[in-house]
Amino acid sequence: MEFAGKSVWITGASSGIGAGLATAFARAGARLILSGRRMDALAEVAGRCQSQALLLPFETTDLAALPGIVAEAEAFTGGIDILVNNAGISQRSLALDTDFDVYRTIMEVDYFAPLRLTQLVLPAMVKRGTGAIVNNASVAGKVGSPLRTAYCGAKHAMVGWSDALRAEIAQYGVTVHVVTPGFVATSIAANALKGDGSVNGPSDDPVNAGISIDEAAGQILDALAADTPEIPVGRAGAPEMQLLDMMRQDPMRMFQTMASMAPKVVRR
Amino acid sequence: MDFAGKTIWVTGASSGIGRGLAIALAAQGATLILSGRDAAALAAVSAQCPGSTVLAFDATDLAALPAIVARAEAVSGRIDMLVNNAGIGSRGAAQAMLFDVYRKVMEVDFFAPLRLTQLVLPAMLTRGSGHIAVVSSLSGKFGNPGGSAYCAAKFALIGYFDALRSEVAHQGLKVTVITPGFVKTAIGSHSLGPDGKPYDGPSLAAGRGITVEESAEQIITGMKAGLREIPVGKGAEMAILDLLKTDPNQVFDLMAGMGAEMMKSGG
Repeated sequence: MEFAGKSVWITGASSGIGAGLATAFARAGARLILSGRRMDALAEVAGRCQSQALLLPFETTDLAALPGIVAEAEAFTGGIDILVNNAGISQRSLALDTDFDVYRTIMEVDYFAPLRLTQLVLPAMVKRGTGAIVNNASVAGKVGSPLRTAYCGAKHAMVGWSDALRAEIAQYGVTVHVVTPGFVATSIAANALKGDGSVNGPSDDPVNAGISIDEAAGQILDALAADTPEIPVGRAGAPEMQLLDMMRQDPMRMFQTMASMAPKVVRR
Repeated sequence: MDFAGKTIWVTGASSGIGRGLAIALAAQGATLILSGRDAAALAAVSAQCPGSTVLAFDATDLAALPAIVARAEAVSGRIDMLVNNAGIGSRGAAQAMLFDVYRKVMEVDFFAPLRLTQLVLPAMLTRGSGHIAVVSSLSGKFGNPGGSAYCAAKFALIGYFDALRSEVAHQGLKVTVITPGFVKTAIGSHSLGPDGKPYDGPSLAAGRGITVEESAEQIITGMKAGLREIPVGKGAEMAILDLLKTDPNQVFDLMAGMGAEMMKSGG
């Protein structure tokens, strides 16, 4: 896949991996549509991108507004080449302490919103016979882990839907990519929801020691350039990245490893 | 694992794998609570499960669940095992699939068992023992063409239950994920099509697969062996689980080949 001259639409572009992807795609010569909720933050990211960019702020979960937003994005570019579903929200709470509504909220943001956006963007890609859907899941979309029952549910859902979609639309020249980041130094843990739905806030979460957003974006673009369907992102050999291999090759050992983490996070 | 004397609650027990599993567990001496929507069908299953109780309810009426759980817990004073088996299938090309079908499938296959589990969990944790099983699918392990809504929900179940296991295993609770391949049940004819109406297109599953009795036997054998994930089936589809371990990219290619075939045969 080439990026020069391509129209790339990134959600959750105001910070974190989304912001890193914006600058990386711009450097590679792509035209950008940057979406998120905060116009000022998007403008700041656009300022770092040496590229023409449309700022298109919207609330991802306002699904009724999406057809209008998609029309605007397509009018600006004449067609979306690459859609990066990056916006998402995480969780830090035990299942026992998590309100049912938190499960709904996280599924809405992490699965239904990107699904709906993709539904609206896909027909034009299929008609043109080219395009790419890039879904930013997580290691949590491959591996069930403590304090993340809702997040793992939603990210697994994203992977299942993506893998099924890929199988259907490869024949039309449209590719589907699943990105599974481990620890990347973003505000994902600070923005995560707690069991009562409130925001987690700053903490000494392992993500703080993760790779930089620029390194993450570099890994993602390299893998997309090589047309890789599933893209792990993280420090090579890092424990959370090894989980991906262990889960695939020896899930029973994986379950044991995860269960042994539980006493460290248990409510006292 | 000994099932004798255990109180086991099975949802979706009126037919298919749920029915087969209920009858097999009853034969092992378990006391069954049988749930589903169809009280008459449940009564027929109950007749084959000595000492069982019928507790009919609509799994998606979440507001009613606390009272339902209280009734289930009152049967013997405790739920030793909950088998979240109720579910709905879905087939159809993603491009034709209405958004509301994705919502409906997630509601029945993910949110309903999640809510039930949430309500059953506290008493198990207080006791320091209990077993929660969930019937996912091979579609919860690998994405397949025509299955975008179903795969999402069945993947979601595995994500939630694997994460849950990681939190509660050290407190004495067991969590088992069951992943059936083809089993001779009515799931095909009860699936939602892309327009939300019953699916009436070609079915890969039609006429294929092991019997519900065989599936129940495999599940019970797996539970007795302490497996946390139990594959159920005997056909070629089960080999894809092995391929996933060694070469996931080959699974993607295999599925894309099936996707092209699917569109040629009219979706």
